[in-house]
Amino acid sequence: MNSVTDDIPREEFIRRARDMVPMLRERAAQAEADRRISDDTHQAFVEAGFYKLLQPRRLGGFEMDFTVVTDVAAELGRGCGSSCWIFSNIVNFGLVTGMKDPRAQDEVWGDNPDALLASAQPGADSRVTFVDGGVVVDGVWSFCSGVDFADWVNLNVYNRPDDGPAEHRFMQVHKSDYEVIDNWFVTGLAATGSRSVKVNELFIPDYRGMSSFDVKGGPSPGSAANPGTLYKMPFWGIGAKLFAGPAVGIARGALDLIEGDLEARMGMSGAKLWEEPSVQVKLAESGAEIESSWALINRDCDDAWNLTEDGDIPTMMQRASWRRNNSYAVMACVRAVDRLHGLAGMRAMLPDSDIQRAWCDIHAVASQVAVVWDIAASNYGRARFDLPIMDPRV
Amino acid sequence: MTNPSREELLDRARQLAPLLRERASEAEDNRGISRDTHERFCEAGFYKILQPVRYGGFETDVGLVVDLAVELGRGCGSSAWVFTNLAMHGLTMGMKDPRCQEEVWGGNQDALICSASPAGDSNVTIVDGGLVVDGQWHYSSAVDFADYVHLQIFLRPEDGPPEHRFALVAKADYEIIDDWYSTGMSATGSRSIEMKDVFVPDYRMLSSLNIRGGPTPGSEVNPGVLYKLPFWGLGSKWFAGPAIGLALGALELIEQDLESRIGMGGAKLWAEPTVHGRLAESGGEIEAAWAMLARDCTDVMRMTGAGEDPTLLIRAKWRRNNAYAAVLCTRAVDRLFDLTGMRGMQPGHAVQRAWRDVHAVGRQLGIAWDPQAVNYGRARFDLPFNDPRV
Repeated sequence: MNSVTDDIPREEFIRRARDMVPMLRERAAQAEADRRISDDTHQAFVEAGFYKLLQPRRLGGFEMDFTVVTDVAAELGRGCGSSCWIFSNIVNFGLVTGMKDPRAQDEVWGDNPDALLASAQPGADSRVTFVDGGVVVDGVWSFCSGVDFADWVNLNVYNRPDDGPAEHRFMQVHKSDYEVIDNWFVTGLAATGSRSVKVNELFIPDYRGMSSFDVKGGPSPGSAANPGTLYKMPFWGIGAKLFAGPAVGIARGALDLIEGDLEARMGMSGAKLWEEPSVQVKLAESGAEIESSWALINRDCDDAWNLTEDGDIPTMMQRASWRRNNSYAVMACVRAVDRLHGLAGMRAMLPDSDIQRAWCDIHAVASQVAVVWDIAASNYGRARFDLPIMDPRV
Repeated sequence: MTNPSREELLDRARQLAPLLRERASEAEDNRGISRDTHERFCEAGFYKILQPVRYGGFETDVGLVVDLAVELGRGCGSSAWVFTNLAMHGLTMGMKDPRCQEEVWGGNQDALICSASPAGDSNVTIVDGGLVVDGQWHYSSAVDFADYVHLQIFLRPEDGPPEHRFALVAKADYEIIDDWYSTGMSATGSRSIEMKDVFVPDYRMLSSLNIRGGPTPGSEVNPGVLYKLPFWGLGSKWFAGPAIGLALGALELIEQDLESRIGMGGAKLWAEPTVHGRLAESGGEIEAAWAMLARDCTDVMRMTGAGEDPTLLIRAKWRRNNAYAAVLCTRAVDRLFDLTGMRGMQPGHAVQRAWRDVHAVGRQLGIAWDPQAVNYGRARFDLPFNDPRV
């Protein structure tokens, strides 16, 4: 187990992730059948220190930067999209929690620096009542990726008052306060175990929340206790990178698989498929799409980091551009995998095909509301022309 | 006098962009950028960024060529193209035999070199100690401002690997033929030149076999990282930079244009979600292209600095990425150009110029998608490889 005193370089985390790829790929089919990744895989992530990459140093984390998270995801995703997704979701809440009121941080990590957090989206029958000093939540929250391993869940709460700007909050709830509902049956990212949680008339005090108003760049409620640059980042403006990293990883994995597959395949004329220029062009275009996506994400991460370190606050336009780029990267990876999947013939429609899994997984990634292209594109256009933006998560 | 910083050079380019945009139409009419624009590039020091320090150059990095081309290209694609073509030959010259460098820069550190591609009636004869060239070479961008031309020579011997050479000829050795009439990149003045049985000694040539990463004929006298770069393998970044600039310029112009336009329903066009979708996708494409080129430039400088020789697969990948950047920029401009309506078809429309120009960029053989995509595939599967420029 790593402790805060270990000084682990970023390349080491990436190497650990790369080394896990064959194992993750081997386990992917079973994980799909189980609708969750195994405890062993989770434990391997714990031991590699992956979940602590964005956790404050003060509380036992490594407090690194966004690009290392992207690069680790770009490796893990090659082996198994669902495993990568679990990593990306959990690691992100090291950051969210580090931005929160120190009381919330201490509740999570004070006694247990290994505590993990997931998040969940409001379902149709979820109810939020804003009361003095907090919120009361009741009903079902869905898509709770990582709930099998989490000690806490951050409920996504939206407040859209008639007379003010829309707000989003992450409100953390301890696992003793919710019940997990086993309802995760999907075609893509099937092994993420993203079940629902149910709460009953539960009061959550304000200090356990992180409001979108407080994380637009610059000081956050947690940044006095955690003075590092990380906890002053424009969280939503830059933050959906955690969904783009898996897209890059899954697409890279699909490219590996197709290239491996081609070695054995012949066209109708009996020639090796890899000698076909039409095949080469598909590989080249998908490869370049993936690399441009990856470069774009990491450049934005670096830009946001440098800007934050200089004490600059990004404008709405800047934040909307980062989010647009993030969604663009995911869309480009989807196109890359679609094109590659077409090369794999009917075999890639069979349920035990790894290429089939990558194809389903990446479409599931692109369905995450934080990276959906249409929304990000529209937010960008509205920011560019000073039209009102109703999405609190920019 | 200290050399200008990277930021200072970029700033100079940014300040020039509006002027370039203003002059773009007239430059097209003249089929070449003005001498005044060229002189401003000289004064700004743009052509010296890859020239060896030994001869008064700045010896910066290849990434700066891309970034400067982006800024200049926002104003005028042809101007950016002239810049990149002349600037890149500071690099090829610095890789050459020191005798050739001395001939070019010994008496005049401001001497400039451009290049030209073989035409149908160009003849190359291999003789003792060099080559004899005869006939026409085409597409010599910026030839009006150059003191020398690097003729591109392709040798495809039956008993060895194909080879490419840059063969240097002085302007006293060729005649310029005023034959540049093009729909895209029309102000680059990329005329042809004609020679009559000119002998080019070996030391005035730079062979593709000697510039695949690591020591080059010139790197002993110019020990900086630049002159050990895998020249062709790093990808012809000097062609992709202007494409990004053009596309960014088109995006800026469209966004301004939209402020005054009204759709059929009477609503402002800039409030239309379909318009937002186009702007966003083109913007994402352009930034992705730029980020990828910048990353590849950083990688190639780092690898070369560390003494690592890139494999054929890596070089083919860099070239593929470069060509893909141009594909992305072309798609971006195509999508934006549709937004200009019929007005965009009128003569002198700046977005239309960017549209014509970006399509011309994609036709440059060094950046054309199909050959680079196939090169990548052939490198990936160890198939025989016949393109010497990778």
